Amino acid sequence: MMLDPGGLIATGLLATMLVTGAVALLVNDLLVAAALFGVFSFAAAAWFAALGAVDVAFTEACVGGALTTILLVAATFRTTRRLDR
Amino acid sequence: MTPYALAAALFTLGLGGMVLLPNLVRKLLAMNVMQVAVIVFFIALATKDGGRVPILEPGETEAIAADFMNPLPHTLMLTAIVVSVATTGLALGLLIRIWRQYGSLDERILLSRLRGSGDDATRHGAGDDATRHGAGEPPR
Repeated sequence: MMLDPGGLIATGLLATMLVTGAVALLVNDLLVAAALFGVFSFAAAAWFAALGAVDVAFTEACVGGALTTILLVAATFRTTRRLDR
Repeated sequence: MTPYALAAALFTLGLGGMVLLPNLVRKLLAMNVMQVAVIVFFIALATKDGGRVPILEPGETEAIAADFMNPLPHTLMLTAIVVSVATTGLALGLLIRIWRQYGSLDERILLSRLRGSGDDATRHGAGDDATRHGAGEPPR
């Protein structure tokens, strides 16, 4: 069940989390940021499953990956898409 | 890279984003990244070498606690995830109100508009006036 920490999948998940997390904070479009945050949450969920926390993994996939992204997209249409004002 | 290094990197990213980015939505996203960092840290605490997922196999009647990972941080982090989405929802609600009232989500613009409407309030002597003035015309 455990991934080996130096393996390709584990390293790929870590890199995905770091890159999408950083880029989501820097892009200028809230919809793009929401999508990237969804990818970030999904990579986090896969990482939790790899660490053996399956319950946390599916909660994070449902709540963090789906619900937070839906909330962000809903907020986009009620405020503005641009993040520089 | 160990899970602890990942947690530290994500926490730094989130905390730095919350402090340095001027846009309130970006601050909120940074806060979410920080919360995921804390969850990664606790999940990493719960793992152990050779530990199994804390679920009994079908037909297994007795369990030795030493064989399993610690399930207590897992349950704590379930609560943390739910709290995090509740925080995000409330914050987005507040941000929508701020946008309708002031027409901006940038901290610097908001501060200057707050200061401007505050001056108007002292001049006209009516707080209601100030909020109506602040509503302005939100740039769509």
